[in-house]
Amino acid sequence: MNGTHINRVMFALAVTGLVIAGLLWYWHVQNAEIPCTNAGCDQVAKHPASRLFGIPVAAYGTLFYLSFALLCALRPSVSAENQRLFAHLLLLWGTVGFLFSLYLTYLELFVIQAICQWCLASAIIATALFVLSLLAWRQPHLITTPSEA
Amino acid sequence: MKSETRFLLIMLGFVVILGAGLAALNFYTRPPQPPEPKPVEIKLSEMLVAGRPEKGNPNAKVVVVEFSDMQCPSCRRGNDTVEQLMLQYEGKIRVIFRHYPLDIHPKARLFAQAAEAAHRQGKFWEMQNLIFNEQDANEKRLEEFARSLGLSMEQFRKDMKSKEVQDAILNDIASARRYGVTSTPTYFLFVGEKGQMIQGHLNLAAEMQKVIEGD
Repeated sequence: MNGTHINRVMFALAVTGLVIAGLLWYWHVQNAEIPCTNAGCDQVAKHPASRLFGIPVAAYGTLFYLSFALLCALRPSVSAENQRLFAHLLLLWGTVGFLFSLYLTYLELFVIQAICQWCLASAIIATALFVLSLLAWRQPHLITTPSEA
Repeated sequence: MKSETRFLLIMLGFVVILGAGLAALNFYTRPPQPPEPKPVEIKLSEMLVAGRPEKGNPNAKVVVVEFSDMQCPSCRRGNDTVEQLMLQYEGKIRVIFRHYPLDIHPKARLFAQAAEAAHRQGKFWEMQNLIFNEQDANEKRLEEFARSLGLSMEQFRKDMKSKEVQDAILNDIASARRYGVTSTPTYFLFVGEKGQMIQGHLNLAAEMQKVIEGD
């Protein structure tokens, strides 16, 4: 997998995460019943821990995935020097997302004591993004064809 | 800007705009929310009228007086809500029924008469449920309902047209107007003597939970 492939996979994962977090944010605000195979989603969504500083956790998630996807989208167009910078930013962002997801999963398991599959899916995506951002960091330059303007 | 970036940005923009658009659409097309419950000055003892259909625990502290129209679809959903609450808080609720057949529903008055006539033979709630399950029933069908409930048919037919039944319904309508009921279903939820008016069935379960679990 070369740098461009890694970047595309990260982009696709970030967009998937964006959709999940966006839906969760919307459902939270609407106080809607969350489609779920168990009762976990509603338990998690109605728990006070589903908000941080008064803002739904899913809103942070949405912004996180959106900015991650934007970084991936812009990366092929920046100069070789900045590509290294972008790789650093992605690693930083990937680490932040991973640690935050780890904390949220801890909250679900030990504080709320319920599991929501949507949150779990987001945590898996965040973990994958973290691993991929590590790979991208080791391989910061994307292969670009010279014909592209 | 490289084509890769352009492609990815278009993809991202598509997802974001689609999501935001759907959320906005959902937000602006959602049904109007019922008005907030409001406290009423009238006391429970003033609202109790002898001979109205009731169910639940007659000594319960929490009393629901419902004004309902049997041809109205939200009254049907309200009835489901009440039944569910009766199960959930068994023995903690007393429910009293009052008629408020609206003029916009051509069969509402007939339904009220049928239920009221069934009430004379102790089958009000059973008849009400049959009507709610078939809100386009005609007079013949109502008789079939009565027969299926084992009512005396002669008595049922006589009661349906009787002055007592008509008066009971008119009396309920007059009360409803006096209490400021403007739509159905409207619930008066009392804890002891103090009550609040709840319009529509959507707020009923939440308020009920508050008054019972907040005890």
